[in-house]
Amino acid sequence: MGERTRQALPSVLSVLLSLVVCWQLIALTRDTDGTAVATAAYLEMLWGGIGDWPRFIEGAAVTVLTRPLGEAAMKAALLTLTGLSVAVAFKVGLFNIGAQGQMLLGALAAAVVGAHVTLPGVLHIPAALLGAAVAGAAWAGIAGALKLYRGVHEVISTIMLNWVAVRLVDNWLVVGPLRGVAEAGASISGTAEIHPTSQLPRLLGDSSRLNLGFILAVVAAVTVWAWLARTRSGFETRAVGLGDEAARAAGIPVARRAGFAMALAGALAGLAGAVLVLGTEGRYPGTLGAPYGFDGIAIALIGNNHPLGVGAAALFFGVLRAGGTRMQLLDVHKSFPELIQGLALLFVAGRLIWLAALRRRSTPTVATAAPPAPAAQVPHA
Amino acid sequence: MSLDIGAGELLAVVGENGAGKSSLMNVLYGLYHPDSGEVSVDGRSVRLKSPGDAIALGIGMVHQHFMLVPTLTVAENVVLGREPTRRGLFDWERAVREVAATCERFGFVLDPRARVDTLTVGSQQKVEIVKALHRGAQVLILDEPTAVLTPQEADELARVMRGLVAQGRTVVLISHKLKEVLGVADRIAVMRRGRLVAEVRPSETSATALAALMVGESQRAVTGHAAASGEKLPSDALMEAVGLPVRGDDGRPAPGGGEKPGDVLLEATGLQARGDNGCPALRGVDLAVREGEIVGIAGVDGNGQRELAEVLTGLRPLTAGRGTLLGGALTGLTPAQARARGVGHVPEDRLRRAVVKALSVEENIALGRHTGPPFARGLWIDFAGRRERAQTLLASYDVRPPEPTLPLQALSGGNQQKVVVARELDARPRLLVVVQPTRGLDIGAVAQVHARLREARAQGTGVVLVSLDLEEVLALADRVYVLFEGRVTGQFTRAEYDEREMGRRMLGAEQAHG
Amino acid sequence: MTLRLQVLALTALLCACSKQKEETPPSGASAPASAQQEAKKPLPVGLVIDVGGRGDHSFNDAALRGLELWAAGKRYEGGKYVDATPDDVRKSLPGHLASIASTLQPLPIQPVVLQSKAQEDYVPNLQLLVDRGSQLTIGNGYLLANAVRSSAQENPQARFLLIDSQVLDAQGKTLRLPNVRTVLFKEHEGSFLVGALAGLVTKTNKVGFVGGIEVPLIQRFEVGYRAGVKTTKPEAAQALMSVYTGSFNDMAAGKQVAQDLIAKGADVIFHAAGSDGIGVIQAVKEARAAGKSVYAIGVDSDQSHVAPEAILTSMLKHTDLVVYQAAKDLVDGKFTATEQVLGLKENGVAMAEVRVDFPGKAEALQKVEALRQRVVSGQLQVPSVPADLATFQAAAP
Repeated sequence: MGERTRQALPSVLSVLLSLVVCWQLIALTRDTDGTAVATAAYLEMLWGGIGDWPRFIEGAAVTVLTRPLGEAAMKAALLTLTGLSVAVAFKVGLFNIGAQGQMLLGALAAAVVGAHVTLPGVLHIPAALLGAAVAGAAWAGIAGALKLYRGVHEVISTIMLNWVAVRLVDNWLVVGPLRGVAEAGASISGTAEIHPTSQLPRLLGDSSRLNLGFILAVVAAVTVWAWLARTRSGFETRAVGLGDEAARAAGIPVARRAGFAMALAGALAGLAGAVLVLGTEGRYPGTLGAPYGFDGIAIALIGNNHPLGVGAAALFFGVLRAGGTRMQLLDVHKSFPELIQGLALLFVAGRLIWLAALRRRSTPTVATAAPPAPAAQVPHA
Repeated sequence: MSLDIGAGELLAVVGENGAGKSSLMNVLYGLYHPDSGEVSVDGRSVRLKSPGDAIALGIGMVHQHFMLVPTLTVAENVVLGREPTRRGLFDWERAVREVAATCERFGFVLDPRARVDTLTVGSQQKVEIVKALHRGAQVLILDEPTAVLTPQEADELARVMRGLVAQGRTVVLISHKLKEVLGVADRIAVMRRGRLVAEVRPSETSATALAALMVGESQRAVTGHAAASGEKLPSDALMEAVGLPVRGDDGRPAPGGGEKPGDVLLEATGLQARGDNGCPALRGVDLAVREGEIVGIAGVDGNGQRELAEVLTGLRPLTAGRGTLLGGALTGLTPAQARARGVGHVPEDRLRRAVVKALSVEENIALGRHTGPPFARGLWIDFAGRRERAQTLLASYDVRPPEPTLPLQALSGGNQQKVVVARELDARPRLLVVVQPTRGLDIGAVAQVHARLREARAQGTGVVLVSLDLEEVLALADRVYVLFEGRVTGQFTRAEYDEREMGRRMLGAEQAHG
Repeated sequence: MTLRLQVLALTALLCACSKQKEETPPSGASAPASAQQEAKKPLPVGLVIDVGGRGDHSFNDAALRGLELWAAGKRYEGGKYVDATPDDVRKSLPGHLASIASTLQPLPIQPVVLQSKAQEDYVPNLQLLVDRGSQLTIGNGYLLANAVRSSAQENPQARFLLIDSQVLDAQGKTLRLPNVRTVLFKEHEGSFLVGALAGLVTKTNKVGFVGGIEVPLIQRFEVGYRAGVKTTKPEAAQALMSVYTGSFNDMAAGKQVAQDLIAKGADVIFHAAGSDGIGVIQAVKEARAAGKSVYAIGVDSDQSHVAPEAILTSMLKHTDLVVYQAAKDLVDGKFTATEQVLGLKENGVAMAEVRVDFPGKAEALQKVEALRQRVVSGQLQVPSVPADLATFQAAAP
């Protein structure tokens, strides 16, 4: 327990620090009432994420709670899945910058299966999810194969595959062969709308967009955690990530473990795309601009690459970002939640440098060095 | 404690690992800061707050683990941090000239243009020494410098050290090899448990007396433990671990046990394999190992021993030759197959090959054996079984602290090695390949590792022992192959052991017959 | 103990905050107020703009102008609204709207604008505005069509305005909802005029078109443009070069294709490509700096200020007027869920003032004006789909 707390502490402190810094920034951008506006903006953000409790207490409909909670949960689900994607790859020692591209492919696959395949409900959702996972895994598999057979560094290949994915999906398939058709003269952005059978069921009916995707993300986090912590192959995966030579010497199939982890990473990112398409959008939108794949990197690092830590970080930032849009009501810029997340990442990543600097500071410097001399004396240590 | 080091003196500091020698030297080198007390140079009190200060004061250190950049050349490594420049750019030619001059001045034979990763360990050590001298070191601290050297190389190092002292430099030699210390030092400081227990001149003492001073209470501790766990620990192990002949009436080691030849475990002919750099490293090695014998592989570092060990454990593919290993072919062997057939492996590069330092001790004990009981049940890890086995092994091998959940990197090197040996022997291997099993270990640990290897032999395990420490090979092995440039240049049975002759073979002299 | 005190303090603060909010304009959904009953209080009107955001010098800014400056009489400055002067309003009016300037009176409304970070923010943003008592909620752009559909279905009591798109059902068929007014533009009519001008201006007899994503909406620009060029210079219509960049947010792509068109001899390039079009304008500007006589034609808003020398004119889409009209209807209690399709006649589209000089400018403008009147009067039907283009014939003015 103590050990876990110690590991989580830097992330928690970094998040708190970034909250304080952003609060200060909001306050500074105001001529008058800076701190009051900043506090009010934070409260808006909070109510936008966990439900508008003050209004509810004053007698507003229960939807003032369920809607924000649903939005927060959906963002958390997406961040969890992409965060897990990055974390799983990281566990095997690979840096998956490509969750964004994998998510795009997964979203497209889900949209295609959802719209162009006719299946009964019990099968349609699993089929669409499977399609998304396979598409994401295949996309990540390209980077994995390049790494294993050609030695191409996965950071380079996954970054480049992100762009390939954008060009392929957003700039060709979605506006070309797969574009949704509408009546003459009407314009549709994105692909055709999915069948109702493939829509992820909403858990709270019409009162919230909260849907099965959230459950899926939670299950994914727990499963990934159990796999890494409790199973033989999870253990092998961690061993490969922490010491591939030792793992090889121990008879662990290093390439197979790395390949599997990369494919799993891609599948998770692909599922994020599926949750977006099947859960809320109903189609692959004109462009999948939201950079959840890149956010996944931040979430994974803030979550210490621990599946449950990733879940916790995603939940927190899901709340922040679902609520963040409300800060605009107070004319605070929409991007502060991202800024908070970015700063938290910076603080987490900068922790080591930070510590090193502190340590150096604590050792006082001593003035002149005597000329080289062949005699040294160590009395009384 | 208090210690004076005179100018132009060769002082040896001996003691077990953990006795405080390294801490003391790290204080001198500015890596550690003393809680109390002070360091004076030339009678003036100084505060060493970083190695930079120490270097400025003329104190240089050669660490046990070399601090070299493998992909850079000798010259680049030596000038690193104070590179000569011309018009703001690194002046490579001048660096080479300067380093060549330093080498010549102190009598080192080194090619400044050679890449460090192509050099032998002995040469890399010279690079470290040249680096310190190049920075104007007046006081040179050498931490366990001979652990990896051949007798010839060790002799050469001794000459180098004497030469430096003759030029007025001060050398501090940290070692636990009493024989060489006695041969080279002007003065010997013995440390035990953070205290200076004696300062003697070589002429006034003997190896036995020094060993007794060094080991002190810990000897009782080790033998006491062995007695408690009901194991037979040869009382000579300690003597042997410090490089002294056991029962040495005629200076020749006593024959060990295991003289009953068993089934052939390994038979190989014409083994060839490439090294990491793609050049042939094994050029036709014939080898046989039977049950219940320890086969030593001696040689200067970089003559194919490591590659041979990797071939036998499935880590390196053969390019030619064939062999039978525990009933299967040697060709196409994978590490998993090797393990499945019963090959154990204690590799040289512990942190890279044997353990995953960020994993816990118990996870490392499971590593490689994690697919079956007691470490796994089906697809799942068996946490209880693993914990129980880990605790048993930690107690039996006296690993300290006996804490299975600690990350392995929290253990000292000796305890890490105990974990590796415990793991490999616990698997009851039929063939055990050990490489440099005692490098950097303290006396107690060395004694224990040796005892365990003998015990394995007694139980019928065939052991291939690769060590750069010839004395270790002679002490343990029933037969010895000498490797030079990927070929067997000598084979000796225990009756034929001759240290000088082996040294010649290690440097390439041919033998009339195999 | 301390913690509990803090929690109490926090709760007190919250209550204070929410009370305060009750008193200020965007009144909550908990107190739904009929517009007419509380005439003194400005009516909240919500606007969700797409991911392009505020300050795009184009589509979003036009809607914001209509809502904030014209309808509410406010200027947005440094994150706050300040009262605008009549002069501000006058300056924002293009020449051809001068006649209606007097009718643009500030209305008692309170604008509430939400920008969206991503596609999936549209629904919660619309919902938030509805929850906060927005009497009219505007979705600006066809990207919001789906979001407006689901919000309108979930909140039948709320009123919506969807600009630039119809409401479409899952099969892509037009869906009429009783609480959504939709507005489409006859982009082809405005494009027809700028095409006619391009045909009159070109010397190389080669003109170009750069589209964003090839959807029917953008095709209408191209078809109208082609028809215009065909009317004034049939030989240039044959050689008209049309390229689609496949995006609306890639300036580099727009610049690249425009440079290619210029190299092939085009001397007038019309863009309907969002941010890609800014790249088109840049390419034209650079070509002019290199001594070529090339013009670009802007889109949606008057883009003359981006490169005054290089912009021949712009094809305007008056989303600002549409927003103003909807707000006015709301205040007057006349808001209806109609399907509007606005062309030249309704001032939905227009050709912006020509601010550059070229030989024969006055004559050319006369000819274009003549064409405009023929379209307005219904004498001339401008084609809107490629299929009708081949049969289109119009007498040159």
